[in-house]
Amino acid sequence: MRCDAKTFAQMYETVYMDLYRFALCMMRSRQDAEDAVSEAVMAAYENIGKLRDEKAFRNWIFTILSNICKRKLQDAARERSRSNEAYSLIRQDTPEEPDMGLAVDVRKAFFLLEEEEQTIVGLSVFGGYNSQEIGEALKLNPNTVRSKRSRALQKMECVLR
Amino acid sequence: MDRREQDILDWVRQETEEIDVPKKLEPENIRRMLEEKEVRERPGKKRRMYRFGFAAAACIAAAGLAVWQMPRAGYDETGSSPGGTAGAERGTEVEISGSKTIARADSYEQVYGYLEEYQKQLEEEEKRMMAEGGTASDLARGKEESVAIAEDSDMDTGMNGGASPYQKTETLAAGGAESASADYSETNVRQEGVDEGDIVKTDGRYLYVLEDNGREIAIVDTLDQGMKKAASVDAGSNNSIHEFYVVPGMKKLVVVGYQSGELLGKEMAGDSAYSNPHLSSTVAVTYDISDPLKPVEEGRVSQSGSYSSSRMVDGYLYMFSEFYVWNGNISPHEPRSYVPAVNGELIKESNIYLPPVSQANMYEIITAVDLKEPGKTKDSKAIFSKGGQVYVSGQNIYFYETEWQNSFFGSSTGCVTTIRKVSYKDGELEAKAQGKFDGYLNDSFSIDEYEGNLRVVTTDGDTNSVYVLDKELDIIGSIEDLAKDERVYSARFMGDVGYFVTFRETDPLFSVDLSDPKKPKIIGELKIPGFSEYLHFYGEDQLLGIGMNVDEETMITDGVKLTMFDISDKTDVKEADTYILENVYSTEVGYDYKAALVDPGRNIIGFAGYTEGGQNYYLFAYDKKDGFVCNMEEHINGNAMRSTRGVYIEDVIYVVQGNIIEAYSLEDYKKVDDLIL
Repeated sequence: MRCDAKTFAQMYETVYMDLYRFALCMMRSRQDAEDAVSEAVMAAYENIGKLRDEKAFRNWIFTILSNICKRKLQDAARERSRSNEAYSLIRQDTPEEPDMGLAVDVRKAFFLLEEEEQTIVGLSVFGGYNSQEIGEALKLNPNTVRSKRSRALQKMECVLR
Repeated sequence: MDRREQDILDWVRQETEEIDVPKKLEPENIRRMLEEKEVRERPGKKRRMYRFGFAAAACIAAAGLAVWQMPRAGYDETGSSPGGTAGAERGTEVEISGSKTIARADSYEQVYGYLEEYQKQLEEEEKRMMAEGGTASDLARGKEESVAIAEDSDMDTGMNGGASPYQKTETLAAGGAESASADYSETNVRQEGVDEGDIVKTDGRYLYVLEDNGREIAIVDTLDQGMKKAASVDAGSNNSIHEFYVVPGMKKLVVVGYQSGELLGKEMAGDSAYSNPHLSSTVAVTYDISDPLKPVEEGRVSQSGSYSSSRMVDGYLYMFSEFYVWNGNISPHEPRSYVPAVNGELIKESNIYLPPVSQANMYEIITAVDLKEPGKTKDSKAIFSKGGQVYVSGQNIYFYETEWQNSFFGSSTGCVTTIRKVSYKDGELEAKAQGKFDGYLNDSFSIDEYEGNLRVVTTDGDTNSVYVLDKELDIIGSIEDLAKDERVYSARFMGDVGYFVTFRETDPLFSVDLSDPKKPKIIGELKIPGFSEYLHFYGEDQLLGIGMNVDEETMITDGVKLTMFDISDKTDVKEADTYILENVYSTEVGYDYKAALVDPGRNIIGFAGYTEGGQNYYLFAYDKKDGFVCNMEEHINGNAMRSTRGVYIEDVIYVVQGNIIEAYSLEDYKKVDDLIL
């Protein structure tokens, strides 16, 4: 589709809060989340000409963002193992954790999850997608998505209680 | 998804609602930034970096779009230009091998190649996704489209033996309906004769209950209908118990779970299983319970990954765990960074079963333990994969996974399920065959082995199919294009007949005649409102469905619904009776069959349901004259993470939720006792 900055911003407006909250739960720091969303915006805008249907915008940019978050987490893990430094020095969680942007218990609950579980829970909450849609996006059987989500939510419930 | 899960999602949503989005990300600022970018960007110049946030631009260059500019061989060769102008179907996304034999790895380097390929695929997909925007079906593929079709030509091979004895009627037991009434209940299992672990078990006198802390199993004496905690098994603070087995004949208690080292503390600090794959492992610990008051540990075994499932057959434990390889951390020179271990030893190359596609990122590890030697692992295999599910028949383990044909939300163009079969007997595991079929499976009730053949009911896009595969996993019979625009909600096979429920507005219950495996045919169809999520054969010629009622006008589920189908005439299945529990908005049975207590011999149907006021436990009986009779509806006082179990010993039913056990008489349904662990 043809799209100028204004049209793009209008489409973006309908989804950006969910995008940011999703990124925050994945990346766990304001700065990383902001970077991830920025990057998704840039990538989407660069390629908007190839989006054929405005209706697909939300799904499209959500998929882009979840891939970017995944890659950033992988890069961080790779970096961490390469430098062989303690995780706490590199990760954003300094003792006072000033810039998390998330309520303490939400943060704790997400910390318990592995990356894939985070993605599944994040896409359920902020994307509003069901297990089949998530399965399609992450290449998992919907039943696998359901059981992984169930296991993830059980872990999160530990923190809640 | 049950109410409790929904509650947690709602909680996350609420807790994040107030979060302010940074100024830079506000639509107005985004617009300005993009406009500025346009001004600076000259035609012909494809791309520039813009400072945005601060790390963002650099990241784009590093990983996102740089890939874009350097199309790789293998991508461009296919002729699918990044512009994605071609709208034609391009076949499957990954090439699925047509080989019928499960390949074994020759070396760890070979294994590493699959991991690299997986990573490459991820990157390419990202690139293509951006390239091809809203046309999900085009997301792809680069491989010739004939792949899936090409091997169909050899589908009829290997089909000779085993065609005759299909008229043999199997006893009800095969379908999971235990008609023999024991004087205590057992875990509701997928496959008769193949035991499964659970969180509550009994040996007829003692109740074994996994406590809410996930670390301890309480052993409760139920003598004289009272309850007394008599002993307990403590797994220790670094362990978490998933489920366990009680084997009364061998006087054993087998506990399966995971061992986390110092994981918990580290996890909270942001480390987790993916930064050290061997930090946590799945363990099975066997106790001698000759004296249930003094359980004695006899041995333990461990394997990499997180617990996924297990089975117990003839004194052997088969344990499954999922070991995900985190690409960020692997090194080709350190097999330990990407190869799973059993009891600390890396799994041998030849015991790694390669996938039928060229990529993988996880292993499903299968081990076998002889309970007579519980400190040793008798056999172990690792199914190299991208993640799948397991169905265990009386002889074989089937590992199946879905290959999606696009990666967009809500716009599926179909998928293929690949399946690998590993036989098991007396603790020995052996690769048998692999195959594939279109569509995905709803759950393990949609796949069933009978007389050496495998029958499946699948959903593919907006249609459904039934396939019969022979023992080599070649498709020998099929029915396609069933129930358009609906999907499978539940299924159950018994002998020559399969039943399955699809749903859109009404609930057609289909019956399939499978007596000629080459020519399965639909012989019955019944449309009723609502849908059944779980099916269970209930005595002769009866099939019980547990699911939801749906208001036909509003399409809203308005209560849990029990249905008894009269299947005496397979070609004319009838609804014999229904019972709707209004305002009970869900039951665990829909996704956890172990939560169902169904015993046609004793005429007991028990399950927990969620209501506005909390959880209730229901007991029903059924007979042809009176239909369903609700004998008990009792509030459940426990409120823990795990689902509720109802277990009976003789004439008492024990309703277990978390650390609270409530006992009711099965004669007058009055409360007999309760116990807080």
